[in-house]
Amino acid sequence: MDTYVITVLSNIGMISFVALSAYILLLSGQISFGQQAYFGIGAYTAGIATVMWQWPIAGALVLGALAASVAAGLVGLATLRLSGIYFAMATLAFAEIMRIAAELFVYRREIGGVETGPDGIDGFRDIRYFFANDISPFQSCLIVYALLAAVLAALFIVERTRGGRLLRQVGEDPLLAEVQGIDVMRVRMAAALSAGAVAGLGGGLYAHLMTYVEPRSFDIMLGVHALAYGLIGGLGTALGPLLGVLIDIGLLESTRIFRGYRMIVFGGLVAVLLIVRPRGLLDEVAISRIRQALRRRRHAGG
Amino acid sequence: MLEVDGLTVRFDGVEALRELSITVPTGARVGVLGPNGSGKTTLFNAISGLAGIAAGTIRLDGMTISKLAPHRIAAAGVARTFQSVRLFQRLSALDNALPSVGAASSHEARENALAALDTVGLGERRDTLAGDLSFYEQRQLEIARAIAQRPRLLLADEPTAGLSPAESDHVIALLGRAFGAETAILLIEHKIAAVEALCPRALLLIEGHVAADMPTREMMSDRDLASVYFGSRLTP
Repeated sequence: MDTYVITVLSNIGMISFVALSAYILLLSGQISFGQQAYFGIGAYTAGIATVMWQWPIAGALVLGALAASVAAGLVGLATLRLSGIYFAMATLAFAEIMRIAAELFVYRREIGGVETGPDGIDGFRDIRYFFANDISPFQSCLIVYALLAAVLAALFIVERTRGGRLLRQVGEDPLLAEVQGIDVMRVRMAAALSAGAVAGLGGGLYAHLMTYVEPRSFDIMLGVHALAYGLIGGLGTALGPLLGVLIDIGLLESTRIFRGYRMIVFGGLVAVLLIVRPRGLLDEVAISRIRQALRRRRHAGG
Repeated sequence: MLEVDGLTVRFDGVEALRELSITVPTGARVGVLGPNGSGKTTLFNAISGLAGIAAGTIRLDGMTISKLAPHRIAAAGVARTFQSVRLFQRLSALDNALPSVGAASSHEARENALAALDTVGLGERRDTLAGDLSFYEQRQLEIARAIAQRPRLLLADEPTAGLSPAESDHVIALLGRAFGAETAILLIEHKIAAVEALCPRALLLIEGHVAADMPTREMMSDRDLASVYFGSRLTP
C-alpha cells in the first residue's frame, strides 16, 4: 500500500481515540476542551516506558492509558461538580497547564550511549520502538486499528447494556437521573476515567508511530477538533465521532479538493451542523430510526 | 410510612415551608391541595432531596431520608412524576421505564419495565423515542417509570396537567389501579374531582404549612376552606 495512504489511515485511527474520548464525556453531558491533555500524558508516559525503561510496547501502552486515566480521575474529583461553561473552562485550563508543564519537563538519560528522553520545549524525540523492532508502517497501522476496534467493541457493549443507558440519562437530564436513583457523580467519574484511558491509549500510539511527541502535539486545537468530530459525526453511536474524523482528515485534510481551505470548510461545517443538527449527522433520532427499520426488516424477512 | 416532622425550607429568606408535619401511612392516598405558591411542589422537592432543608426531619419506614442524596432517597423507595413532563426525550420508552432502583438484577429491571409499559398501555411503543410520543403518552410513560421503580411512596405532581377531562380520568384511574397497598401516594392536583376520585384524605397547604388535614369530602363541603382554595368569589 502507498505510504501516503498508510500515513493518512494511521492519522485517522490515532485521532479517533481522542474523538471517542471527547464523545464519552459528551454522552455524560460534559463538554471537555481538555481531552488532548490525556493524549499527551499517554504519549509521554508510553514513550518514556519503551525508551527509558525498555518496556515492551504492550506494557507501555497500558501504562500510558492508566496514567492518563488516573490524571483524568484527579481532574474529575476537582471539576465534575461543575457543569456547562465552567467545566469546559476548567478542563481547558488543566490541558494548558499540562502543555506548559511538558515544555518544562526534562528527563534525560543515556541509553545505549546516546542521551535521550523528554527535553522540554524540544519535545521527546527518537521513540524508535517500532523501527528498532522491524515493525513496518503498515503493521503499526494495523496495530492502531486493532486497538481502535477493541475500544469500539467495548463502547458498543457498554452502549447496549446498563452503562450506556446510565451515561445517556445522566447526559440528558442529571437531575432526573438523580431522582430516579442514579448516582450521577459516579457515572460521570466512570466516564471521565474511561475517556482519559482512551485518549491516553491514542497518545501512546501516536508517540510510537510518529517517533516523537512535543508539547505542541497536544495543544488546544486537538481538543477542539476532538469535540467537533462528535458534534459533526453524531452522538447517537460511537461510529459518529469516527465519521467526523473521516470527514475532516480523510476528506478535507488529505485530498487536494479543499487544500488550504480546510479550516474554513471545517469551521463552516461545524457551524451549519450545530444549527441544523445539533447532535450531529448520526444523532439519537437517526440511530433510533435505523434500528427500528432494521428490526422491521428482520421481522419481515424472518 | 412517611413521617414529616417540623419541616422548614427557605428560599432567599422566604419560608416556603414552615414547620410542616404530616404522617402518611403505608398505602394511603393523600391529596395535596393549596393555592399557587403554598409550597406543594416544594414539599415534594424536599422529600425527594432536591430542596435544601433548613429544619425538621423526613422519615420513610423509620429511616431518616432527609439528609440523603436524591439518588439514595430514590433507592429508599421514593418515586416521583413532574408537573411539566420530565423524560429522557432522546431515549426509547423502554429505556425511560427501566428502573435503576427496586430491582435485584438487570433482568428483573427489564421485566418490571416491560410490565409497567403494558400496564399503562405503552407496550407497543416501547422502542419509540420518548420525544416522539404524544403528550398523553408521555404522561403515561412517567407513570410507567414510577410503577417500574416499585416505590414505597409516589409523589405525583399534577399528573393530569394539560390533559383532557377523559385523559385525566384515565390517568387517575391508572394511579389507583397500578399501585398496590404497599405504595403510598401523595397527589398534587388542581382538579378537585381527580383528588376526590383517588384520595379519601386531603391536605390543604397555605403559605407553607398544613391548614387542614381531613377527609377529602369534608374539605370540599367546608365553605371556609373552599373559599381559601377557590377564592372568595364562590362564597355566597
